[in-house]
Amino acid sequence: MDTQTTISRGAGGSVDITRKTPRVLLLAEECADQIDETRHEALAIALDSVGQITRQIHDGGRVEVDPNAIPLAEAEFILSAGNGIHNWDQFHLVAKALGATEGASRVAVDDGFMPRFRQVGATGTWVTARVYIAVGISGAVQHMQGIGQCDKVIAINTDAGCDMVKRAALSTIGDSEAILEHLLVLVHNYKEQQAIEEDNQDAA
Amino acid sequence: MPPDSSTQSLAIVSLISIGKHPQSGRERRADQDARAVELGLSLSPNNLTVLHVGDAKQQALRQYAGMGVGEIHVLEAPVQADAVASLTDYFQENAPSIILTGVRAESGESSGMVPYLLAEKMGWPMVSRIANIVSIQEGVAEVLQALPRGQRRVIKVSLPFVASVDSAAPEARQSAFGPASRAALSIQTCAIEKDDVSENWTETPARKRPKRLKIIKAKTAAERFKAATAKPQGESGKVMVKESNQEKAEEIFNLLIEEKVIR
Repeated sequence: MDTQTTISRGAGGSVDITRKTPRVLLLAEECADQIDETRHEALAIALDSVGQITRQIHDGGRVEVDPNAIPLAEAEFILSAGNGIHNWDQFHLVAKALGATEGASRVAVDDGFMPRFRQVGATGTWVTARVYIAVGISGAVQHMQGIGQCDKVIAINTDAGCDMVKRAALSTIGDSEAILEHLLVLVHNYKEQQAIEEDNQDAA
Repeated sequence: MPPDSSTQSLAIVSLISIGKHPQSGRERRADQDARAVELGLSLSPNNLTVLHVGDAKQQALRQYAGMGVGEIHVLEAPVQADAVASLTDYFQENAPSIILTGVRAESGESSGMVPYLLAEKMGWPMVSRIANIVSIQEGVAEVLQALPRGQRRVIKVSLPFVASVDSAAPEARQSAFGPASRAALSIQTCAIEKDDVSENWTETPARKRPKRLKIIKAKTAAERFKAATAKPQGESGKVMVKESNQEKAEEIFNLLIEEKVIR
């Protein structure tokens, strides 16, 4: 793109259109790198007149979505289980309490504990979660590929030398069942406290 | 959603366009437009109008008819013509309650502007990227809007309105060949407005990797060399081994709170 001509992408990304540069453009993500090194300021400007707008759309706010209904590739927060999980009931309980989408490693799927569409990794789904908790997953290469785009990885594992621990931002070494048990209690306490605070706010 | 009596007689128009298969490039029913037809069919099976502006001889139109639509309305216009002008003329005479479109066309400029321009011309509200229409009561529709990461938002909007249907909407039903070939096409002529903006555009198949606006920040050769050869620093995270299970769980919990994933 320059001041005279712009190349835009049309037809569902299959055609490049060369055209005169319009005055307003929406940039594609691949257009340029993000700005760093420089700082910018946003200033408020005064308008001469503001058009009268009648509100026709009412925003009812977010709705609670069942985390397991979110496609795995889109999910923001994934609790993933591997071979190190023995108490599956507890795992599902924790996922529900945390509000996390469930994932699994190949071994857990092969053993029949989780359905195939929950598999994370090269042969399963490539996930983009912001927070990914790997419970009892040591981190095969294929699995690490699948979580390549995840931002924060938390590992719960018995083996301190495994690949997942090297990748993780926070690793806890120990029995997953005991750690998840404590986590469950913490989440329940937190939720109860929040409910009490909300009640207080309503009362006030 | 099961069709209930309140929406059965609602006049809904689904706008359809000719799609393009991403791999073969063959013409097909456009995915999001098909979802718009599906949504229209589930809301108001008896009073749904399926409308296309363009070439009536296009075979891909029949794929929409195969979804159980008895008739397809076509406003005959050359492919280069501006569809919004023809549509506005049409809707001024027979205004429906809801107009459904896809988010983006799969051919042409695919700017996704049609619903917005149409809404502006008609003076109607426009709801973008809807996933479903939950209910319509007393002229107010409750609509689920699709947000990134599988989230949903409830929006209340009064009829009539324009909505673009997201790929998160219920999947379109299969198209059956027999009904598709039997369906009637009702062809109307319409006022044609030539789109003279796009006349001077040149189109080429998309390049695989678009060129980035690259700004070289390194000023000396040494800096450039360093930038090219530097390895990403392997940040190994915090490892907790000896702490009690309680402390480990607390640390995880604090991180989750910090990242705001527990609500």
